Amino acid sequence: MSEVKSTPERPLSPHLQVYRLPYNALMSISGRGVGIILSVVLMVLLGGFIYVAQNAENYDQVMALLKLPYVSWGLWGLVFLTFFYLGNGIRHVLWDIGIGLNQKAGIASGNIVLLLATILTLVLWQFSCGCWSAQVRDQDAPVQEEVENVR
Amino acid sequence: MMAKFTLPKNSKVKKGQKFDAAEGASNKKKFKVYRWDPENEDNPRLDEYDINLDECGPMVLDAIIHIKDKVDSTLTFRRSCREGICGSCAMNIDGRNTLACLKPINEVKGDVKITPLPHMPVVKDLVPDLTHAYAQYESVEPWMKTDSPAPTKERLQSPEDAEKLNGDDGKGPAACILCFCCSTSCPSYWWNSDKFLGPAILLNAWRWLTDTRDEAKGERLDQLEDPFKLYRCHTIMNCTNACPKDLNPAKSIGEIKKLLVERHT
Repeated sequence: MSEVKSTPERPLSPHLQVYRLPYNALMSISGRGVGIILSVVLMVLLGGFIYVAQNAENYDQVMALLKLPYVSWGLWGLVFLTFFYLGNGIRHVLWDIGIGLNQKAGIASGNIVLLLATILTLVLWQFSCGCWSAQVRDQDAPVQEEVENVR
Repeated sequence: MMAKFTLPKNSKVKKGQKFDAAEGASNKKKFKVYRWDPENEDNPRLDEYDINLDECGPMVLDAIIHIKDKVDSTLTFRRSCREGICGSCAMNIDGRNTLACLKPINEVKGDVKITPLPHMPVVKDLVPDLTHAYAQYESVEPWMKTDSPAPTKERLQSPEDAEKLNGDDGKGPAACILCFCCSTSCPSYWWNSDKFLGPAILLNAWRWLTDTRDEAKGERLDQLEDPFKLYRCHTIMNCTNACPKDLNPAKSIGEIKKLLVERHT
């Protein structure tokens, strides 16, 4: 009688290990990641509000912390991520009602989301603390003096 | 259940053998091909073949046929029509799913890495087991269902109604060749293929939903309204990106979701 050899268990073919994720997949995974980051940040933020409301000492502590360059830049990063998340959400709603659901439009709308998030962050920066205009003014300061001298 | 992002122990890809079939050739290319032999207990491996491109045709399928004919006859893969209509030679080439017969070798920069369709059980080398995918196809009953008595001639359709299936550019859902490039490019299908139908099957479900001659729309929608079968699609769009026939499975899935919303309002 011939011997029947049993076949070993079939391997699973490589997936994430080999797949070069296309643009829209990268946008999708970053959307998820940013969502997780923002929900953690929201909890930290709420904790911060409660802590600050306790007494003046806590308030001063947190304000000093917020003025550290890394912290304030990080906060502006979070503002960008919030706008990105908002824009990406709108993009998904549009897809759900059947608008722009194809390869080309998907890439275009993704780029618009990234661009809008950048612009809105800069606009908010300008309006909230005027940091941008302050810097521009610093650079322009001598020119302004000259203008006044001419007058 | 949580998605498993790594390969099981028996599926980890090891280094393979090297074949130089392009000695002294000026126009050569290295092909790194996934191999797995069910005859022994070894893990899958990646074999390397140096090929003289002057000796073979322009497509990736030409290269692997050349390898099987001239270099290593043990290499196993599916192929038939060699012109992108049978869907047999679907595989992952250079990190993207496509048909080997439609993929020009010179579109790949550097070495050409070839693996089977992703996240599928492997029968041998580049041949995935499609049993489950075909069973899912059967589950959407991809045939015309009618209650009205059959007319004496065929059931007629206006050109406008036919266009819903064929598209105005021939790229409607009826043009699907069931190669499964889309389903096996979809992370949702990777993690939930036991319950999620995947883009290829959902595109075909839509093909019957949008057929004006079919009379089982309600029944079909009942079958699809399920948190897993349909709604595991999160519009990642890998399907539309992968389709070698330029079809748009993401759009088809969106249309099904819209139909279900309309039914509830």
